[in-house]
Amino acid sequence: MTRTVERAAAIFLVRSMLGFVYLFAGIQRIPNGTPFDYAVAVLEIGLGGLLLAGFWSRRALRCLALLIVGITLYYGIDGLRNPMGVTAMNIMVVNFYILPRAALIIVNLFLPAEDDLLSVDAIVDGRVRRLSRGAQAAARTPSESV
Amino acid sequence: MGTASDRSWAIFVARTILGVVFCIAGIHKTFVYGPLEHAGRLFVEPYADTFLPVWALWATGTVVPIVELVAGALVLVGFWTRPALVALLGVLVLVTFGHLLVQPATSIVPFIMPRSTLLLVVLLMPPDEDRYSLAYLFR
Repeated sequence: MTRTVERAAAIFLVRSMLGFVYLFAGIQRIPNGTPFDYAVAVLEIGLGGLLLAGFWSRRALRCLALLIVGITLYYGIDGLRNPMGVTAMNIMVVNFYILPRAALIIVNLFLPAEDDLLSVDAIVDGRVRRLSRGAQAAARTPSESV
Repeated sequence: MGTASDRSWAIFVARTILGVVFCIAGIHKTFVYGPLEHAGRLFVEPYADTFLPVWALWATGTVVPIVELVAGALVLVGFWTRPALVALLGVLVLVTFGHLLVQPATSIVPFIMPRSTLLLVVLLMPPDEDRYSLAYLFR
């Protein structure tokens, strides 16, 4: 039980962190005001919100995986057009924008979805109910056997 | 661990970002600098006062951009991924040695360590789980 709660808490930490990163990135992008910014902001806010709630989180993670790969390709091509240093790509973008987000996405994907109990997904598919029933049954068993 | 499909997505993210970073650097060094210019400016001149033989500096400085370009492209598309990763690992070890020979220990943090981390993620995962790759498509 404790292990289950610890795993759920660990997954909640990395999922909510990634959710907040995208949610606030989207919100902060809105004042920029170009149609492209609005489109990306809607995507970031939507996917960040889904991750925060833990609703369709695996689907949201896969969308974010495609998004971060697309953004990396964009900045790669941009680096060839406007090279910055010997590696061409902007090191600040790679190290402080792309890689931290990619790391959170990768860690989230590696963690087991079935242990993500502090989420709307777990409530909807009945995992929380089954777990609480199991815990109640385990608590009753010793007293019944006496 | 996540499901096999989730792990495949995680490997896809790590592999493609690693591939883009190395391939772009390789394209820039090969076609903008040129391998010889790259070797002269970044390998021969900065290490002229060290014990390293000049012929070795020319050789490695000329080869590194091409290795980064070819291996980066292979990693990006996921074809011959393992040999390409080993080649990039060799580049990372080489440039780690080179940086630390003439610069402080922190000099490897911004460029070399993030790339090494991504490379390790891909290298340590089973190749069979890299489903979103050309190698998996043509197996």
